[in-house]
Amino acid sequence: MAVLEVKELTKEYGQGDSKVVALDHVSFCVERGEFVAIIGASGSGKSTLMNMIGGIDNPTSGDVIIEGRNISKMSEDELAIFRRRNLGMIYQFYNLVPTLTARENIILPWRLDGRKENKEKVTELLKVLGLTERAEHLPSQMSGGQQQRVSIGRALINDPAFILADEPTGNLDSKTSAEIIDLLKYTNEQFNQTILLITHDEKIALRADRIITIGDGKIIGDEVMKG
Amino acid sequence: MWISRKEVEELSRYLRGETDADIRDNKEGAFSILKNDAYSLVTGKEEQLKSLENQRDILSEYMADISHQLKTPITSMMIMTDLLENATPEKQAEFTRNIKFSLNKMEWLVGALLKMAKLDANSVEFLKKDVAVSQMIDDIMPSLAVLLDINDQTLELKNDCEITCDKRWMEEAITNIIKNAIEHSPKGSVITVDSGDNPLYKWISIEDKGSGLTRQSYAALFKRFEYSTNENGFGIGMPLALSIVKGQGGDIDVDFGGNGRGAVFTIKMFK
Repeated sequence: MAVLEVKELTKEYGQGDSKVVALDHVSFCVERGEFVAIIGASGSGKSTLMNMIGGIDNPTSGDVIIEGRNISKMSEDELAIFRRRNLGMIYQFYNLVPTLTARENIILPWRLDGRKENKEKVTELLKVLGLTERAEHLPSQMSGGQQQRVSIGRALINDPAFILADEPTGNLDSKTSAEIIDLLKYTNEQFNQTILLITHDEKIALRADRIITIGDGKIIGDEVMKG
Repeated sequence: MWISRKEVEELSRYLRGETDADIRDNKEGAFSILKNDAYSLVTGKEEQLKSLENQRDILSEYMADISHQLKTPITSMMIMTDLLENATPEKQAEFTRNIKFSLNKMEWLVGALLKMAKLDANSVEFLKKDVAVSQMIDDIMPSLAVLLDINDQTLELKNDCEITCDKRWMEEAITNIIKNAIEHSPKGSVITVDSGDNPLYKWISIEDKGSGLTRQSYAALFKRFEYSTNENGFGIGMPLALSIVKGQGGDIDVDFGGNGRGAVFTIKMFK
């Protein structure tokens, strides 16, 4: 079963003469363990696509099916909980809670679910992320790269169906960017974590195993680079 | 938290595989979380079964590749042997050379494909030990010496490092990447090998002095039989190297180079 199935996804704004078609019947599948980059210029529709996949916005028509579950048919409350338990989101601007420490930010999804903390898992994750010394620090006490690592930790903590990363390196210098992509590749390799990375930067996209190119709301390329 | 007997029985049936319907309900509460966990468990099992089917498909693809790729050298050899009988002594010597050449190619091809098939089907057991990059380079020099000599090229190791891997397999991967570098570097140039260590992985890099990669050549690079500028190659060396490295929990990253810089291939072994 594919981890993600996008079927005839369409998003239109406005009507008649002023109608804008942001996504035009986009369809593709992602299997478990794939590291896929979705690349497109500004205005290509890639952000719209990401919002549909992440369940943040509803399509005009078409379906987004995650692990067999059609999320286009869920209510907002259901969607919020589904996202918390099954998706890991990483953003360009980290979006950490400023009053929580690194460790607390990472286990936030567990706290919201009322789950009991698995201390070993957190310690191991902090080690992988290289954040053991920063675990009790606040976001304001960390560099951009470190904050993004906390984001990645938070995205991973619930063993999500896939990680959705929206320009995760957009706010970082090239050395730190390379380290963040290395970290994502590490999780892809070691945990068989499925990753969808949205970017406008071809260099970043070329580090993925498969590249889907979007232009004018349509898929104009879908190429496997490394089997 | 109110749980009806019906809901508990539904969960039981789901775990026994008696019902296909998605058990998750995305509500708050511990029972909903339990259902979510049950779902993860059941799909985990399904994934395992799918992976076994996958391995079987991979192996049959390789078998098709082997028979397809062998057709040409075999046909060529048949023609040669037919002509051998009535040929002059010089022609006989030429045909025999051709036959030997084809046989060597076939041997390399079959060997490489079988290795890749085993690697991709995860049926290779790696013997991982700590081994120095310099040691591996020393061991593979004999097989590279002739090629380097013909092209008047040299190999240089910048920094040494100990990598945890299966020595024999890793040496094969490194050899293939260096052979690729030799093919794409101009005569008289230096191929630079470097290595190092960081919190996520240990790495070995091979840099050539060629003109770098394009997106098209990169796309063909790791696909079987698609990338070979050399008649003696099959386009299998690089895909095999990738299979070897991935099989041990690593990856090969490619810096395209260009603008006067050659390509850099970095083997990354995740810790």
